[in-house]
Amino acid sequence: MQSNDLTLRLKPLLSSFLQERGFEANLDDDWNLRQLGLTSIDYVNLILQIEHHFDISLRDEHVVLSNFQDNDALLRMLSFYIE
Amino acid sequence: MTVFRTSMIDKRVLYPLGVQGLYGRSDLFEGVVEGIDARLKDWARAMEAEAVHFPPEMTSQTLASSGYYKSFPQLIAGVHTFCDCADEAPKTLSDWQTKSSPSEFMLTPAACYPVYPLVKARGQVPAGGALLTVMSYCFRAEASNDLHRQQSFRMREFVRIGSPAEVEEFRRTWYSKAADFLAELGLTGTREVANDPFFGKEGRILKINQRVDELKYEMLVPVDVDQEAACISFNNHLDAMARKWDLQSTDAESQIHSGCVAFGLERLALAVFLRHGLSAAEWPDELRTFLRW
Repeated sequence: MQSNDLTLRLKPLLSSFLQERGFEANLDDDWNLRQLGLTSIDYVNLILQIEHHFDISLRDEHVVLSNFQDNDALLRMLSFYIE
Repeated sequence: MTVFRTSMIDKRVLYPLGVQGLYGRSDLFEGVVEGIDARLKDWARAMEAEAVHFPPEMTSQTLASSGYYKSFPQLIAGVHTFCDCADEAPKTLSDWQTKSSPSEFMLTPAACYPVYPLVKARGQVPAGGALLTVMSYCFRAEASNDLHRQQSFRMREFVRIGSPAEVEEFRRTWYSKAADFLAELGLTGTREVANDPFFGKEGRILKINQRVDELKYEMLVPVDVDQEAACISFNNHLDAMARKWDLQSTDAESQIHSGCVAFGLERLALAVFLRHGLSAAEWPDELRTFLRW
């Protein structure tokens, strides 16, 4: 799957996830969650939603905060699971 | 089977006992384990850690109170004993098994587990907290042919109980100390975020949470050909163990946290043999001095 396609699938998920928690974020191509103040419980929920959304089970070593905080890192990690 | 594993067995450094993950040990292997632990005990004395010693079994109730049955049921092994109601001795193994039942003992899965009820029995945790060290045989039901995944192994732990800041500070100071310790053994490691093998679907959430909050780090060290394993772990339990054991501070306002740093003695010994070879006579003088060989 092309990076653009992955981005298209990811954006609605992230958008709805952030809205539900009252965060305003501009999900342009280089979004970054670091400044939003998400709690660790938020990140746990985000990771579980990503797994469900893409029907994948992340390897333990991929579950590190840095893989979920910005666009490039998340796409790079997801591309490991999604052709 | 790797060349290293074959050599360790062919050269009689370790003796397979017919089941996965259980080995007899040569005097050479034990000398390395004892040398490593002796130096860790030196550090414990320098840190004025209270040394306590436990048998390799603990009560089933202590393990239950620690939450182990819920979190890691797949790793537990218990002790069965023969019932005293039989009229005659069993004639076969299966006969014994039929007439035996679970005792009140379980094999200790982690060296620090008996520490928390000990601290609880002493009353409130004093200002400044507590620092204890313990070495114990541990057992985890994880059958594997890998030498570094033994079911019966020893672990030296440093357990810190105190305020949240004291526990996290303790853990952080060990990052560089552990690297220094490895350097004394001629080894290098990589510290990485890790998780415990929590069981089941609920465990999956605990694993993710542990990794996101970086509550566990492991120092990965080469222990076999092209294979690394966690030889040291740095754990912050937050208030998990304090809640389970109702540990209270003398200062009612203060929260009690706990953490531990654990050294896998067999794995460290394997790393030494992999790095320096199986002939102690050919090891660097510094290493032999360090291990008091």
